[in-house]
Amino acid sequence: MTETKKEEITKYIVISSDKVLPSDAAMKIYESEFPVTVKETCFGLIISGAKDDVQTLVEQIRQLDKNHIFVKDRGFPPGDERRCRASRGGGPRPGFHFLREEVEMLPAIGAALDELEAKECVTEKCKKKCRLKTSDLVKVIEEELAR
Amino acid sequence: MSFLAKVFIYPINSLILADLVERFGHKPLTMMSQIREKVTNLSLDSPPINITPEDPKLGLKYAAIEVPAGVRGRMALIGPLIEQTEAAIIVENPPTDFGCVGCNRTNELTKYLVRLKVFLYSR
Repeated sequence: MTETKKEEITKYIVISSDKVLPSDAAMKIYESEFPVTVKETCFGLIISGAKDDVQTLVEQIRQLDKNHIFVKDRGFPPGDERRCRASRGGGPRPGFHFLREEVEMLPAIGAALDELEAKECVTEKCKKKCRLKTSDLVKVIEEELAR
Repeated sequence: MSFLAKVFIYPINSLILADLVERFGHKPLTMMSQIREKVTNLSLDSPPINITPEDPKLGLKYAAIEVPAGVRGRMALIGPLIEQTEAAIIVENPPTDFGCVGCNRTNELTKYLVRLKVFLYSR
């Protein structure tokens, strides 16, 4: 009898939100009672499990703050000895620097998605040259202070 | 789940591009899916990450024999993705072009083959 393995996938959930913390997302997964492995990290979560379960959970997590939560596939399962720094003598794991570079850009991507959702055309706004409105300045200051 | 188009992204393991493509209903063609097939296979041909001597040979389809084995090995993973490509998003000079995806010869060849493929697909 041939052995068949259920397809297992791993996904990164990278959280760049002011409202949702990685621990909130992790709690949401624990509450859902899906049989998946969750690892909480500094940038978000790593979820591993059956394909359908992981995809359902990812959609649920994304809905917590859909424009500021980003998802990416991962080839290696969490804690894999070939990648985990615990078994490699410390230091960042391969791929971490790339992820960190992209995480720094996520606030801008999130803001652009917010504007897109609000049906504001970003390119048209840039074409017009006009004085900065006080209300816009207040908005910029509030966004900076919220970080 | 039905997807609108299979979209090749460059950098090929980008979080931002993969997320945006998936968010708008398309399927991103990424390195992660290729790596997963290699490292989670039930049979381990060549531990630790299952890159076998066959892989550079597969890469011969995309690069000549004089090309370094590293380029051919990378093309063995990237080449099958290019063949599925229906559309592509290429970021020129991305700040994240370092590490394992920082091989400039592979990147030049990848971008050339993607442009060729998308050009032929659009005709």
